[in-house]
Order: sequence, then structure tokens, then C-alpha cells
Amino acid sequence: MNDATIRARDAGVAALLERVRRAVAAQPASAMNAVDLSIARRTSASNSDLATIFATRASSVGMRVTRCASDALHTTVAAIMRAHADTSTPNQTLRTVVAIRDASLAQRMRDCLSSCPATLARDDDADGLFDCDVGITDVDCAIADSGSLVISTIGRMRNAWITPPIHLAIVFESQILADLVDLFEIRNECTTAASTTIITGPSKTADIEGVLVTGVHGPAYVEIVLVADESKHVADAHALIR
Amino acid sequence: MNELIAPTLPYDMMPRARAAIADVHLQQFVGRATHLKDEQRKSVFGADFGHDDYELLRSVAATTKQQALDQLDVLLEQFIERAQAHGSIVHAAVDAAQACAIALSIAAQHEAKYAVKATRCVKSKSMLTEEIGLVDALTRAGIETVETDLGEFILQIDNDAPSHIVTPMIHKDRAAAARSFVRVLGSRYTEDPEELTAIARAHMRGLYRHAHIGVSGANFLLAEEGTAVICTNEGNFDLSVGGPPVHIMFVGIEKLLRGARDLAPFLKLLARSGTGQPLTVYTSFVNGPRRAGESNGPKELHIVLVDAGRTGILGSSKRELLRCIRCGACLNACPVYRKVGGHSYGSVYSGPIGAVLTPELNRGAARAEGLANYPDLPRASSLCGACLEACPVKIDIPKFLLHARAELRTRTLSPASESRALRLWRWLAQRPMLFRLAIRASRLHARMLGQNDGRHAWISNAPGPAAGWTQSRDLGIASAQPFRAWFVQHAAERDAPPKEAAR
Ligand code: SF4
Repeated sequence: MNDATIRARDAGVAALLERVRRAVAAQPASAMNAVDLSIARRTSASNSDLATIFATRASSVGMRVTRCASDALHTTVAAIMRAHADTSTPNQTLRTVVAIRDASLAQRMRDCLSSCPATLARDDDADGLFDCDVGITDVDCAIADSGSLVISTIGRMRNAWITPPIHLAIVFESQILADLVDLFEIRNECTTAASTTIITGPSKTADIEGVLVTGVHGPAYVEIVLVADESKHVADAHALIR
Repeated sequence: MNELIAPTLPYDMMPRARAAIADVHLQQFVGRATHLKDEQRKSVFGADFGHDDYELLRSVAATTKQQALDQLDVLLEQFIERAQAHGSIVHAAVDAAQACAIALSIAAQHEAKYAVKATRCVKSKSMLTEEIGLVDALTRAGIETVETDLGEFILQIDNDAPSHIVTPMIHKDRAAAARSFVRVLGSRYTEDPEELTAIARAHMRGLYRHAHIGVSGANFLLAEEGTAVICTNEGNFDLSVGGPPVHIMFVGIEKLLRGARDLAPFLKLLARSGTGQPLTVYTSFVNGPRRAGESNGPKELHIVLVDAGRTGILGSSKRELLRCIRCGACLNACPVYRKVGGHSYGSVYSGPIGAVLTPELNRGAARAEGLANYPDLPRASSLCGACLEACPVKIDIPKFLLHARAELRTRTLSPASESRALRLWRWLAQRPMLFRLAIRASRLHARMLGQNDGRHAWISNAPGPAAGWTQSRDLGIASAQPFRAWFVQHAAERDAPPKEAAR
């Protein structure tokens, strides 16, 4: 891009700012009082069982939640993979991309896949993503109130959770925030990572005569493995949220 | 641009409205879908927040957005600075033509940077890009641009136009979709929405993989963080932004919020108001292009801030209109929209918000042409107030419709017969005796002309000056008992001691 283009662009931006300044000054500001945004909160952190609220709400928007103890993570993931491999064509192997920020968890999952009907895809091949059947991710955090997953591009390949038809997300109970309001009260990936997506359900449309169809562009299946925290992962997860 | 949303001006609403009302299918689809969505909205807010907190939440959102508009200059400057710090390239466009020209100049540089001419573009749903006619501009420049939102895609291949802000193909049925899929994609004929979706999915995957440019809008811009927030249900934004090396985001300047700390109420309101969901399926946050070491995501992220009439509204007494978050709730709630459908409004923005916004956005430099070009829109309302009640940011649409009607009159853009009738009315209303006499006479006269089903009486073909009124609606007839008599009777009842039996 040459200097003239850049100058023209910056002049355009400056001119817009000037027009906006004049427009703002042309009208008195409204006499509305300051507001308390906390009215938007529905679920509070004092709630003792955020995990159950999260599981219920995530199910009600169409994601599948399987709860397990942390030592049962491998068997739980393997069972879900096997079920999906069998439903399409029996004995199919699932091309799987692992996009997990926590290095040790990523290694555990890659190990786990060796006992699944799966082949491991590269996690740096953007085009190859389109040939994957499953994307396995962890999350930055989860939100109990809406049953949502929050996943950023920090330490994870972008769109690994949205390109393959199946998304398997591993959530530790200690990663669950009460409400969306809480997410924006802490400085987090939403406003720092190149990209972050809050996911609340499988990809959906009702464009054709209002009939609900899942799996339009993103996954038709979102499988959440909700892991009861013990020892190590509590600390790890908190590090992730922060 | 499509004549449906960019008609010849001045625009005459009546032919399309009449055709829509006569269209049995359209009446069925639009009526059913809007009614259902409206009910969903109410029941979800009732269950999730309760009536009082729903009211409060709407006030909070209205105030927050209004305050953002009141300091839009500061917020905009802050946003630009932060977005640039993220590595985004920020542009500004005065109008539609300039916005399109910016896209074309970005596309023109493609070959020099990426050794391939830009010929393919994937576009995620955005009202603003419809407003500025971007797809046409790109297509004319040899860049094949595909709408990736399923509804928008079907409309695009059918040469149709969106008729609803949120559910763009609300006026179309599955058979129409099936036929165009056979014609354009060469797929086998099926009316099953699930199969149709699967066909579109497969088709779109190839496009995402090989597109040179991605285009989208944004729902919110966060000034303090320089972040763009985009809401979709299908996930097409994430795929449109993730694949191509260049992404261009077109955003109206009214989308600014102070920062992430103000965002939660809007996300909760937008999804519930539009479709009854707790949040849209995907709420995506974008902070510039891909970072070093990342293997996908756009290498260039352009943000085009578009004015196109917005500073005019900002500097007028109608600033409040810019609070709109395009949730579509007022369309679903509106009895007129339900009957006439979106295309009757002759604009990208339909329904109650379209009726007030379209003339304002099209005022032009002289700030006068808007209403003259769309003289019917302010009258396309029963002023029942359902839109205000549904609006998550409490835009007083009925008030603005009334203002527009007043402006039409003072600028004598309304029919002379209407002015005459109103003058007569004013003259009569100031003379109580005459007024009473006139009303009584008109009642008698009307009962002779009208029809009666025992409960209501109406005239469907009035003579003389009222003929225009009854062309598009029935004229109600005053009841046999005048209000004054009714009031005297009921006042006596009210003042009487309560009767036991009345329980
Ligand atoms: S005017 Fe209000 S109800 Fe209508 S689309 Fe805009 S925000 Fe939604």
C-alpha cells in the first residue's frame, strides 16, 4: 500500500471523527441516570452447584454433557469417540484434531486417541481442518447461566471447534463462571486474543420455514465432558481463567 | 441493487402491500412465524427475568446505549486507536458508494500481495452490507460474492431480497428453496429442511476453503478494548473470517459501546428478543488479524466505519433511533408488518424500525428527501405501541412515526383531502355543541351505509372524502350509545355502594 492511499485513508477517518464530533455537539446529552448493570445477572457465584446449573443449561441449548471424575476422563472420551464412530459407518475411524491449550492435557488426549477409532490430524494445517471429523478442545472458561463455552485462539488452532462436524470440549468444574456478567468483569481472552468465541449450542438455523436444523456451518454435535476437579487441574484451570 | 429493497423513488407502498395481503402463503408464513417469535420472546423473558426485571433490563440497555451515543466521538476515537493497536486497518466511509469503493480498492491490492487476483468472496450476514449494496459492487468488479447465511444464500440464488432483519427468508417456503437448489447447485429435488441444509453446508465448505476475501458486519464495537463482537447462530462468521487471507468488516458507527463491561445486558437481550435463545449460538470476539505463530485467521483485518446518514440522525432529535440493535422484535410484534410483510417497506429495514429509519437514512445532504421519497412509511402503523413494548432498547417508535406524520403535513406531503378533513375536525372540536351534533349526524349516516355483524359495525366502501381511507381498511362506526352517555351511566354505577351479588 502506498503513502497516498494511507494518507487518504487517515484523512477519511479524521473527517468522520469531525462529523461525529459536530453531530454529538448538536444535541444535548440525554438526562438519563447512571445505571446498575448487575440487573443483567441471573446466576450468582454464591450458588453452590454451578456445575449442575451449567450441565442443565448446556443440555437445554442442545449440547450433550457427560460428567465424570478426573481419573475417568480417558474412558469417557474414548466412549464418546466410539459411539460417534459407530453411528455413521461401523468401524469408521474419525480424523481428529486436538486443539488444547493446556500442554499436559493435550498430551493426555493424544494418548487417549490411540485407544479410540481415530487418526490424529495436524493442528497447524488450516486447510486440513475441513477434512476432520472431530475437534477436541479445552476451554478458557464456561458459563453456568447460559450453558456456554468460552474458547480463544490462545494456544489453540482457530476454528478447530467449529469446522469439524463434531466438537468435543473438556471442561473442568472449576472453570465455570456463574454468569456472562462475570466474564466481562475480569480481563480475559475475549478482548485480548486474536479471536474468542462464546459457544451456546450446536450450529443452528431455522431459516427454512422455521424448522430447526443443527449443523449448518459449525458442528451438529457438541459433546461436553465435564470433569470433576481434583488436585492439579484446579490450579491449572484458574490459571487459564486469569 | 435489488428493486425489492432499493425501489424507484418516491416509493409507493400500496401495490406491494396489497399484493402481500392477497398472497395466501405469505399471510400464513409471516403471520405464523412472527406470532410464534413474539410469544417466545415474551415467555422467555418472563421465565428468565420476570416482568419487572425485564423492564429494568430494557431501561439499563436503553440508557447504556444512549450514553454511548452521547459520547460517540470519544468512543469512536478510542476504538480506532485500540483497534489499530491490535493490528486492524481502520477505514471510514461517508456513504454507501465510498464504503464499496474501499472494498474494491482492498481487493485490487490482493494480487500484488498474495500473487493471485481476488475473485472469490464469502460473506457473513450483515444488514449494513445490504444497505450499501456491497454484493452488487463486488460482483460487478468480477469478485463472486456468496452469502453464507443459509437464508440469505437462498435469497441470493433466487434473486430475491431479505424481508426480515433476523429471519431474512420468512416470506419463502421450502419448495422455493428446493427448486433453486436444483437449478443452481444441481442437487436432487428435496423439500426436507435438513437435507437442504446439508446440501448448502457441503457447497459452502468449498467456498470457505478457497475464498480470497471474507466480508462481515459486526453487532457491537467495544471502545475500551478495540474489539468487534459478532453474533451468529449458524457459525458462518467464524468460518468466513477464519479461512481467507483478507477480511473486511463493515460497521455502522452506532454500534459502539463503552467497553466489555457494558456488553452482557446487550448480548442477553439481543438473543432473547430476536429468537428466544439465552445467547446466540456463536458470539465471536475479534481483536485484529492472526498473531505471529498462528496458522489460520485473516492476515489482514480491515474495519470500515460507515456513516451513510448516521451522523445526520446523531445530530438530530432522533438520536435515539441509533440505539437499535437490529433484533427484529418490533417486526415480529407489529400487526402491520405481519400483514404486509417486509418487502412492502421498500427498504433493507422493514417493520416499525424500518418505517422510521428508512426516511432518516435516506435524507441525503439536504436532509429533506427522505420523507418525500417514502411518504407512506409513517402511515404504515396502527400506533398500537407493540413495537415500543417489544424493543430491548426502548426506542419510542410510535413517537417518531407521529413526528414523521406531522412533518409530512407541515411540508404538505400528505394528501390535501387529509388536511381538509383535519382542519374541519379541529374547527368542530373547538365547538362542543356543534361537535356533538355532527357526531350524532355522522353516526346515523354511517349506520345507513355500514355493515353489522351484531357486535361490530363497519363500512368497507365509504363515499366522498372517506373513500381513500376505506381503500385499504374498514372504517369503524361509532357505537349507538355515545361515550358521554356511557360515562354518565357508568359513573353512577361506580359511585353506587358495591352489591354483594356482584361477586
Ligand atoms: S427498534 Fe428495537 S425492537 Fe426493533 S429491531 Fe431495533 S432494537 Fe429490535
